[in-house]
Amino acid sequence: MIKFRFSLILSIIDKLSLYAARGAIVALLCMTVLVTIEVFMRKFFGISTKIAHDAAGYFLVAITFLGAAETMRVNRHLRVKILYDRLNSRAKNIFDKINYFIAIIYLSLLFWASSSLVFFSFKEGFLTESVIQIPEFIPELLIPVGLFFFILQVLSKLFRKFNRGDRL
Amino acid sequence: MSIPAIITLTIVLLFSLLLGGMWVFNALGIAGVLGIFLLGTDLGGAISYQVWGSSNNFILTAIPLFIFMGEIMLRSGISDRLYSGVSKWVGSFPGGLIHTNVVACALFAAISGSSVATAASIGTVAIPDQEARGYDKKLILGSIVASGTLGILIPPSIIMILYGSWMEVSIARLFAAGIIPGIMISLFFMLFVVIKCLRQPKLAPRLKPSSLKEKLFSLKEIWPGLLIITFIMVAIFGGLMTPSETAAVSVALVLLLATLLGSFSWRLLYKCAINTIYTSTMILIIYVSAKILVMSLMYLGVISLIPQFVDSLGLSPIFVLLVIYLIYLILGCFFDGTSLLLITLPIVQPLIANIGVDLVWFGVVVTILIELGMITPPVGLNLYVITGISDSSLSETIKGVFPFFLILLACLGLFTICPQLVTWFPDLLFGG
Repeated sequence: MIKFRFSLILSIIDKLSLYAARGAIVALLCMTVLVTIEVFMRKFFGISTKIAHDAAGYFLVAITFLGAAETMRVNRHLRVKILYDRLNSRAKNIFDKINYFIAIIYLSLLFWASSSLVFFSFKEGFLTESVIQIPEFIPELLIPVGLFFFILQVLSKLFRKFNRGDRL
Repeated sequence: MSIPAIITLTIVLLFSLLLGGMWVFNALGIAGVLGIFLLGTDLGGAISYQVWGSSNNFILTAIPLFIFMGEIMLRSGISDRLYSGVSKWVGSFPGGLIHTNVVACALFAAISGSSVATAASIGTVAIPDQEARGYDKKLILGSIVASGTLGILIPPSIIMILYGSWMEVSIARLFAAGIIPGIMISLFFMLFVVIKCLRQPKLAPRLKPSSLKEKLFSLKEIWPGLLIITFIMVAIFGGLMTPSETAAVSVALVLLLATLLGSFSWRLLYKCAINTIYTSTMILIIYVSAKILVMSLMYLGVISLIPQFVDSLGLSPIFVLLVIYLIYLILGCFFDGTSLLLITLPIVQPLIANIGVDLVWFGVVVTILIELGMITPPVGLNLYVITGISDSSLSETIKGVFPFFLILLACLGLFTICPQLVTWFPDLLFGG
């Protein structure tokens, strides 16, 4: 029963990672469309949207952080495996657990720092510098949200390691 | 804890974690965080400033956009068309289809910003075809692995975007600087193949020369690729658009082409987009973490200590440069291109500024050094990609690529002796 519940939680985390990555895809498509429109408006009508460059920067934040959890799920984050590949499976397992544990510490620090930034911008009422002034905490919020999913995914990988590989 | 002890601990921790199989972003970040923490600086403020500032960057938007464009070109069958079209033009030279590998890789490099994507896309089409024709396997593998590296030298180049963003150098200038070296390296590769195959014609039988009609007909296969290449070059070098804008419009153009060629589908778009997210996230998270590390090294005074230390040794600039080359060649054996660039730039940047070399020229040199790393065992990514595709042994691929490695090394020497070969074209386009 407990095992069933854990597997359900793990599959929910995997789904959350995928949905976050789909959010990153939306950001990628919006970035493409917005910058293309900006170029066409400027070249053919001599006018600028004045928000394209700033918004593209925010979309990049979304791509970077919302895509991170799913990239971890499919093991696409880069590792140097020159020594790791020479280890036996038991040693690899220990190294993996240590790596996941350190990753959780690092990502939690990033989560804490970026959440503080969001809270500070919200409290001070900072606005973005573009023409359409939106509260700055909104694009900044993408970072802790993405990191939250990322931490969940690393936790789920760590949990799977403790349960003899990826059985769950 | 004393500053030298913190510096030592940070560097030892960084390399221990990297060699222990830690994700590169994590190793860079945790080493940086530790340095800032031990110094007693405001950890939260320092991290949040770097995370937000380095990820919210318009220049870097070119990375996912160019990757997206390359993915669509690859999955919509453009590399297959490019290969078969080019073979009609160069297949009758001594060395036959091996030249197609070099030219198709160089052309695909002008569309894709990645070496691995270039080698994989051309390799998938070329290897089975050339093996079936009885071509020498080592020559096939070596030519594709080495020519694939042109992906990061011939614009657009992800490595150059990262370098330009980090060093605050014009990306358009860097792209322009990569063209002449890229063409020269391609020609040297082809010259080597001609000489080798004139001496041993059995290695790569020539194709029957194509008629003019066949050649013209082959343009039907090549034109989508040529159109995109022309658009990118004109837009960036003509000063019409920034590299990021060019990348966005190129994506729109490629989607239009894919629709016209009948290869567009929503499934294809999704596959291309999700692969773009994987690659871009992987690169950008490393970039953000490298920025945290560099802030730590700055607080620790390492950035200003390095030039002072090198000055105290009284070394000549060329000697310093050769030491930098050597370090890149050694580290290139262990790290992939993106990691190598972002791990070394914080240290190399003050050194380069101190000896007063041209940053655009150095960008090209670093790219060639990274190219060499990509074909050097044990971590040369291109070696593994092509070995995987060809189902051959790694040692066979290494033997095949060795002469091309020497050519690249010789080119590096040539561009060091004659830096004008690199800087002439960007100076011509944008002024000295």
